[in-house]
Amino acid sequence: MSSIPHAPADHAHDDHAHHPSGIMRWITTTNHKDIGTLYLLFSLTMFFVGGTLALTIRAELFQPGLQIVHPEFFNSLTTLHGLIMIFGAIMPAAVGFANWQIPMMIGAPDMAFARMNNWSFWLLPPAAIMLVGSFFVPGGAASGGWTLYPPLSVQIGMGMDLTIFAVHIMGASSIMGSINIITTILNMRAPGMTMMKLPLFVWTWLITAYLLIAVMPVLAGSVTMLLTDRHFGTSFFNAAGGGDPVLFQHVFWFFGHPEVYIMILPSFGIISEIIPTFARKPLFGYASMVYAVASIAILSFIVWAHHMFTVGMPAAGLLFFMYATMLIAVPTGVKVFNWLATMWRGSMTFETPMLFAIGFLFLFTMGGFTGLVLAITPVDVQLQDTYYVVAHFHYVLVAGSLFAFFGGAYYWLPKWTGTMYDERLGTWHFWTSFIFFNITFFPMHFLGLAGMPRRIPDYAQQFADWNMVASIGGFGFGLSQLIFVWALIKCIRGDGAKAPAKPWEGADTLEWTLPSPAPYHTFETPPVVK
Amino acid sequence: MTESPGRVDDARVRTANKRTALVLASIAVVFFLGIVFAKFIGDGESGMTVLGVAVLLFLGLAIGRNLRK
Repeated sequence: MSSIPHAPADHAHDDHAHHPSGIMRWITTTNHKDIGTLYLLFSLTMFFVGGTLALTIRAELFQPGLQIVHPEFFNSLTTLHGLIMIFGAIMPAAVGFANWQIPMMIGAPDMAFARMNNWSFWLLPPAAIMLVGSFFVPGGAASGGWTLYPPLSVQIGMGMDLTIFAVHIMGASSIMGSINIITTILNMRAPGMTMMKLPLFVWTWLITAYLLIAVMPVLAGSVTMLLTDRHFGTSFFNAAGGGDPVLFQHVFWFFGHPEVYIMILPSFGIISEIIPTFARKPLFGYASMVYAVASIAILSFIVWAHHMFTVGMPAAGLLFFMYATMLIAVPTGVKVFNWLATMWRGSMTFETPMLFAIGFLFLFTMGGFTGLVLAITPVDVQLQDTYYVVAHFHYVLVAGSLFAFFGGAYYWLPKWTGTMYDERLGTWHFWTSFIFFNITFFPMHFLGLAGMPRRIPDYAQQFADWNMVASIGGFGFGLSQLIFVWALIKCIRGDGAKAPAKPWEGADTLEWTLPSPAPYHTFETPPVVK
Repeated sequence: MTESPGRVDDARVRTANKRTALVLASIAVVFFLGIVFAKFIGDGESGMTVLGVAVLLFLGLAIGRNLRK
């Protein structure tokens, strides 16, 4: 890791004369910090939109029978909840962190392509409007699940077309963002900032960006073929015309599985910054962490068919994808071991970022274990499309990605706003989230093992008790997030203690050499890293 | 657009940035067209070959450029 010899005053000034104020500042900005803020606020908004859909789902499932929504609308809710959370909340949040932190962590003045950075962000709101607006078109929103499987996605109404266009636009935004991030990291590092001195957050984003460039075009290609099947008479996936719906599943999951790592690798990076800071020890096994992230990324390309064990594959295919999937546990285990080893005999304190990091570690590891269970082909055949799968991926993506992002937000809020967050609110936010998350999703393991299928608005009486518990937990988890909004607003309004340049004793990356809040322009003269 | 004074002015870095971006964008285009082309001709092996050759070509170019340095 890098050590920093320079004083902050050498690299920062807060000259606001060069940019417009008011709304035009945000529309025309090319500043990475402004764009990072836009991404983060957009993702928070979409998180609440997706969360509202989730709460409607949980309200419907509170007890057996149909009480609140029609089954068709329920299908749209599950579909849009997935799409909005993945493309609207998690991915933009990760890009927001990247925009704020990568230039400051590598000593660059801004992103390599500042105008493209602006464009990458401003593509997102129209895509989000299309996605959410699809609820109001004839036929309603897409309802075939976030995976957009044909034949449903070929047959349903124009909500599907809007979804396809939204996915195209968000994909283009992601690819542009990735090109920007890779170029910034490769070409704009401060003198002395060699690759093996990069903060781990930067490494994880570098690898994530490569993943995005490789798989986003594949998703774009597959939904383009879906579009031509729908409107231009082709039969890529339309069985009636000689096409193959299973082919779509292969192509989709060639994107879809790396996408899981696209959502989790930046979180690994954030956790790898937080744990050493609050353990007051350097990260254990830095090089092995880098290689583990790269291994996970490479392996993510050869495991896609574990999502479709039940479609009918040759035994050799089943075995290959089963063992390849299990192999991912090795580099993931290396990371978990290294985080634990970093904490071992450290002078730990448990501020909110560290609480979220430890919560992440505990719950993500549980999600990883249930992933191993699902990797076993004969077990997966039993559990395919049950609530066990729903429990598994929420442990990975909510307690994984989301908890890491909350941890990262509390960790860097003092640098972003110049105000320390309210520790009491942060602690409350963590514990209520942690408890209600488990109340919501742990019972889903039992429901899945008992055979409750996912994506249904009604269920047998035997599943009633645990569904009621999960719904209560879901509403508790949703309300808990208002505490975060409260803490965030307090920080933005400057209602709290003034943050010093380096509020965390154990932090050692370049951004902490800057004053808090970080000035509008930083590192115009590159720092020298020794 | 408002220009940020923090933007990179060094011509050499800007050229390098453009070159990196073009290579990355071309990878994205090859994958997009490759997947559609492979499915269009309906032959999985041809598709794999096209993508495999493209990946090897990019790797060869990247390694070749570094060897030249």
